Amino acid sequence: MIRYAPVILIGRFIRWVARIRKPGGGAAIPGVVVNRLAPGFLPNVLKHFNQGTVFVTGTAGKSTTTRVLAAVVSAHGVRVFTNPSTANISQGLTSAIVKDCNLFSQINADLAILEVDEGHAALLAQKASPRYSVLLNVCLDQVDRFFDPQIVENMLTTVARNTSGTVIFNADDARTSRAAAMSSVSTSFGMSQPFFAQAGAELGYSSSRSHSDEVVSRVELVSVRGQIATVSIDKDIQELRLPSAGIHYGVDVVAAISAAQAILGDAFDPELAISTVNAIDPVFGRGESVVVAGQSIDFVLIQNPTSFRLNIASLSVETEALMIAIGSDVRDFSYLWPVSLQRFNKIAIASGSKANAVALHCLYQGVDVAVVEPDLPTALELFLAQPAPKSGRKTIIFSADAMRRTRQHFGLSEQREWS
Amino acid sequence: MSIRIASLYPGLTNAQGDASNADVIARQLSWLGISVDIVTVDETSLEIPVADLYVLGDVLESDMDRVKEHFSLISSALKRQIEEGSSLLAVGSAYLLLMDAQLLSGNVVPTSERIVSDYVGHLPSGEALIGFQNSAITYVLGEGERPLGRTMHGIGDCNGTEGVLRCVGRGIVVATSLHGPVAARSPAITPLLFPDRADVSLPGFSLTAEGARAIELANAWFIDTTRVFEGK
Repeated sequence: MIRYAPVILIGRFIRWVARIRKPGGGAAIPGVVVNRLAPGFLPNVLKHFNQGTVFVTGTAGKSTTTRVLAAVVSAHGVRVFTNPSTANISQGLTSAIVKDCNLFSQINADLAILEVDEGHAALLAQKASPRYSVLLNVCLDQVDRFFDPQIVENMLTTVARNTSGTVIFNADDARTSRAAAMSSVSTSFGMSQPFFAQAGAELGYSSSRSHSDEVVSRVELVSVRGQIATVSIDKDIQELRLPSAGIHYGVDVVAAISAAQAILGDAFDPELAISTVNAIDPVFGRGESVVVAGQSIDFVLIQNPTSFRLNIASLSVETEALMIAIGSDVRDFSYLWPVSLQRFNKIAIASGSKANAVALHCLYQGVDVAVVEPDLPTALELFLAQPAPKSGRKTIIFSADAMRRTRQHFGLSEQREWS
Repeated sequence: MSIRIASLYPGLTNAQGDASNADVIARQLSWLGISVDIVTVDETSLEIPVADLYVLGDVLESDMDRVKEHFSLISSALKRQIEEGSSLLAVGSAYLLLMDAQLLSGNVVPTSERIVSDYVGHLPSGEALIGFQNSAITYVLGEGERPLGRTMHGIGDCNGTEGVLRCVGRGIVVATSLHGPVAARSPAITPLLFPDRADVSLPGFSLTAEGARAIELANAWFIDTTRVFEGK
């Protein structure tokens, strides 16, 4: 496909200029331009991986699942191309490809494993027909964009219908189950029946399977204690270490193992899969610890009410140095309002463009906010200057926009995911 | 004298914090020294309890049919309660339920495109009305109805106003398309819901430190929302 060489060169030039103008930023701009100049470029590239393309989509867990799946499949000797979690819409995907492909639009990989935003996945699946798709869940998210979970279910149904091979779906989520029923071949993952009955509600699926449904998946999450999970792979019980503590990370891992099993077929080695998972670091911003000015700070990214709720539940109640920064990416704070922060006595700083909304939310829950500072760089410096907590670690909970700006402020931007 | 709030279908109307209005108003009343109890009504409830205030939120499209089915069973009793002096705060798609129950006299008009926007306006008292619209309908006022807000920024009901105030017998219905914790963002709404209680007032909230802080933060949120429109 030499015909795309000119747009690839244009894209790379724009990337070079964007990085000079805004170090650490402007990553999506080459994709915007290339998609405008050559709308067929992205679907064409995706069709030419010899082992096909995998779409990982759904509301929550895309980044962790994609990262774990890519690691497990790579460990089996397959050359994998994957995208950074910050590049899961069409322009981001195109930017990632422009960066890595040759002038013939080829990438040196056998299989593309891509985290894809739900809305973009539905559109792209119709043009590029992934060989596999992983349908994670449908939670309430981006209400200003998707309005109703039914709309997301419809998008996942479109992805399933356009998947040429196997759809790997979450059996505990009634919406992903219905979407997968529209595919010709499917396999499921999920929590064991007792564990789902005990803890399934915490995951915030907008429509869960009925407790009476007898669903047994080949890969199941049996229990989670902190960062240690017990999983069942074809009824063989194994223990593994999750990338971060929390049941939702356990579900992401069983999704990835189930997908790896479907993709690799007889070549799938459960022992190798587990040893690979055990060695995975937390994904960018999701349960990640960084060192800034000699201080350890935990980063917690929240993207919707479910991840907000689950991530708060995984924090120690003794976390006394807590900062919450919500930026303009959360267009309407209303949908985060139902999340209770009452397990904390005090929030050290509320920041970002929604700082006042965060503080008001806390006030109505009886949670004290010591400082409200909408200017994020000022708030971050204040937070750094505060003495080390007597218990727990300094922790920043942020929305994606506040995360990007925080990383940029601390000189942590353009991390390993773009390298 | 204590106040009872009935939260209608809180499990199905809190996706965007609408049901939280019951807790928000309860807290505001606690700043005035008024004791409050909150009762809930769900789709299995056989009857509607007597309450001073009913709170009803936006129902997702996928849940609307089952809520409509149950609401049809209790709507006559709810209307009687309001006629006898109770109030109702309804948010978002709750308009559709109120129309069916003849608690409003105007018309709901579907919009050609969904309205997804911040909103800034003024209540009849001149106090701020702010919120966020994510709606596929607008409301055309009927006989005996007044707008809840006069629009400064945003779309509202596409005619310079937003929402509705309607007296039903001795009670009052307040409906708005501004979803979420509208009583927290616009605390001056709460006194509108208790027209016979002189002790429920915005200045009254400010008498406690917590209440004063809530008003201060709501004002800051008003400024933040106004800045969205001014591009600052």
